[in-house]
Amino acid sequence: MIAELVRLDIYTEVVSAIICFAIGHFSLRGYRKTGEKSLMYLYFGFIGLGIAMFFRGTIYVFLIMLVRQPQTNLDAVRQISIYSSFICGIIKIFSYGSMAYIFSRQAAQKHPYSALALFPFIFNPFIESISLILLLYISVQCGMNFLFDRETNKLLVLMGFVSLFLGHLLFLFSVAKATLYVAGEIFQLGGLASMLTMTIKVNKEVK
Amino acid sequence: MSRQYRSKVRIYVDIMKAIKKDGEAKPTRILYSANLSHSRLIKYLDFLLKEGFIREIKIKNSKRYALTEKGERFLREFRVFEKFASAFGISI
Repeated sequence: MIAELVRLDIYTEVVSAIICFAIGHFSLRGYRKTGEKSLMYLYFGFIGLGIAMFFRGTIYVFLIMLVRQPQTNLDAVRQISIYSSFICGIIKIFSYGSMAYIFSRQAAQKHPYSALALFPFIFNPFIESISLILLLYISVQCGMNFLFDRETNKLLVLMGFVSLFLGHLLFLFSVAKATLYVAGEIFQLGGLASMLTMTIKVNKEVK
Repeated sequence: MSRQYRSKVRIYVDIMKAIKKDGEAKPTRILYSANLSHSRLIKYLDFLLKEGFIREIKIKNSKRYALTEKGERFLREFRVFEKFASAFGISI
């Protein structure tokens, strides 16, 4: 069961990263075509998120391989875990910050059980709290966008950011209950899938 | 209500949309639809002609403009990104 959860976590992080890269790439194409700077910030946001998730997934695999070695220094593993978690958190904050900036700009114009047991600081509650505040702000702005114009695409983006917010909320509480971590990963993946659906839908609608 | 700033790309798109609406359009028609002054319109039309987004059709003494395949493709792609951006609350 524990091994399966570890695997699930790695898979969801990597799939989430791929979705982020896809949306980021689409945003960059949009920026190149239209010259709209907000799309460039959106690109930075999604690419940053993708890098953070991919980095986490890779570090996870690396740490699991290290732990399986008989002569591994567990203190060193813990240190690597703490620092990598901190780096990922910082990248995520910059990513969400970049996205939050878009909305403020627009407004101005108008882990699995075993890993959690082994790496108690896999999530930095302080960094998670900052991410949560930024995601809450983005979700509220998306909610307002949707209320002004009840369009399916806007609803999908709103659902995406609300799911990411809930995912981070669950990550924060996963310190108390490890099952919440898995639920958080699923919410995060679901949120990104919702935004990917919107991207595909928009492409199909016009063509 | 504050007037929203139009980017250069937005103006090009507005001109191309005005042309597309009638298939072929006279400068005066484009001028009204895209809400531009005559001097600015000439400047933008020159650019679009030079880049191959529109072509000029001369009938007797009058000029008309039509979209090229490149222009049609640009408009289509622009609409995709306009919808994508709009979903995030970004107006282009």
